[in-house]
Amino acid sequence: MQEQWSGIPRISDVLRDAWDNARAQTATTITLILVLATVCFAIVVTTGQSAAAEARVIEQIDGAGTRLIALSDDGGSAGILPQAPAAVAALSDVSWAFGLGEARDVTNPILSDGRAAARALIGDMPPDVTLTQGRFPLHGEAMVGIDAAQDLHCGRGLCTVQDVNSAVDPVGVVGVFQAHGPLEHLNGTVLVASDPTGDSALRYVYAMATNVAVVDRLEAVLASSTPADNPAALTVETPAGAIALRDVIAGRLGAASRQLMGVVMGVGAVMIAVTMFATTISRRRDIGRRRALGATRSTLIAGMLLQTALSSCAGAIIGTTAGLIVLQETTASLPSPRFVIAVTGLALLLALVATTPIATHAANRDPLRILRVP
Amino acid sequence: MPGLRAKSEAGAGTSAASKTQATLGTTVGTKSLEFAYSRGAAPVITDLTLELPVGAVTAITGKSGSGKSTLLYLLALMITPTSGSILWNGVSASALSDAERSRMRATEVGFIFQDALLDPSRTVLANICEAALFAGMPRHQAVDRARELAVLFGVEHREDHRPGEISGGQAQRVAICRALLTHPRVIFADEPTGNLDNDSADVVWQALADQASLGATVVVSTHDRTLADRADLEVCL
Repeated sequence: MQEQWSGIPRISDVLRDAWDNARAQTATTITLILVLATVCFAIVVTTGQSAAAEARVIEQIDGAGTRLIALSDDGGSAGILPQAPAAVAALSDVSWAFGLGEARDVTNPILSDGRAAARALIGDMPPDVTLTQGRFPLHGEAMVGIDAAQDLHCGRGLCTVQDVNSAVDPVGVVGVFQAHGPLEHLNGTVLVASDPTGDSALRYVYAMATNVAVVDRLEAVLASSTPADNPAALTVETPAGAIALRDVIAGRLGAASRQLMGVVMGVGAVMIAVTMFATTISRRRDIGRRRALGATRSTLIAGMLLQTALSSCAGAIIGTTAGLIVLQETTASLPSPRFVIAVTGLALLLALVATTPIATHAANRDPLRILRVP
Repeated sequence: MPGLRAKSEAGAGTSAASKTQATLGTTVGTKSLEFAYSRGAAPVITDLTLELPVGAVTAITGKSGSGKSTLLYLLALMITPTSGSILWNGVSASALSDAERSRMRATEVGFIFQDALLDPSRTVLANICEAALFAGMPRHQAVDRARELAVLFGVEHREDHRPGEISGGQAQRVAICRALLTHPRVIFADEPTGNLDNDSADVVWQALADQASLGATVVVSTHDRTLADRADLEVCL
């Protein structure tokens, strides 16, 4: 009994055929691998290096507080409520928030020659504040910044501090912290964990935006969203200058290398197109034979694109890996994984785009003219 | 003026025929067919109407440049007529889309070329299996069938060789194996014995006659008078 076939090639067989073609046509395969490897290598060692440098600079700028927003009650008339940090932290574009109360001088009652500013702390400590000794304080306890710890002679974090201007009981210090980046100024203070349900007003609320893009939006809504007796008296400070600098650097630092990347990709595309054109010219009778055997134009195009993709993948991986090794050895700074994946994907896309018109042209040739034997 | 001339009854089955599978017939024909290579050029084929029967070998003959190969490629749906139509089982197949015509070639047609036209980079077995890819024939079935055909046509000891390592006669036998792989209902052969010695030409002819006896429609373009004389029908262009 004769079987009736579908006339639709199986995907696994098309893949196998492309693999076989890539193995059989060594000149084409090696050329494509070399071109893609060169393109990816050149991009990684030029644009990749610039991208890594740009990322480092932006990281440093971000570390200086492009996302940190400070609400302050400069005149002391705004009356920021203790619930404010929790309310601000609950906003969707805010990563964290905490509040500080009014500063007062404290000293170590045992060794009272040193003084430091103490502020009430409401809210969780951000990741930029890390403990160097002890633990974070519970309500009624305190922690001291590393500079304040020296001033107050708090050895290993075990001391007490007392308000110099009042007779309230000393507060136990349970930890020493170090603040980084935009909160570095806190290293000279003593932070006393306070009750968020209490009634003492805050002077500052610090909030960290989830990203730079939402800082403007947060700036507009933060004052009105913050629980305070007189919100109009609040001052909102954003690092507008740092954000502007960040935008300029993000735009210009890598511009030259991105232009170079465009040139490299353009040259690569031309070389891929020329290689595939030469291949289809030398394979025209193969293509004609396949048409006669029942290959549709789309099957032929898909086969050629798959063959290109296989060779290009190998070339892109080789070139990118070589570029990363060179960067690691020469500059010790690597572009982000996202950049690496993007370059590899872009190179692969470039190869497919360059091959498509060649494959389409080859698949549309008149089989009669190709196959006729004079 | 081209004409269709009946010459004998369809060929009887032989040893090869007894081992290949029977096919269900497909009649191929033309109606008022006209073809020119480009607009405004003199037509190569004009007003040709014919029907090629199932179970017979039809030879297309004529002088060089008379349009033998062109008619073969038209019948095989590889090119489309300037006017008129190609009929498969009475239906105009030339009006189908390129993809549909390709699928018909993949599933119903076996094609044999003058110079075998094997892929030089692949083994004999892989060359035979090439037709399976486009027909959607499962690979394991294709390999089994290819080995069966290789034994039938005496090239089984060459299945791991490349086309450059086998003779012209063997290459043409491999091409026949490739053409028969998918159990085609219609077989087209373009000068299949053009480059072969007498013994190899006999093998090719016998294979074609066997397929006709099993119910296939076999169309051969040839300028070889001996081959044309052995055909059941002749279309002289």
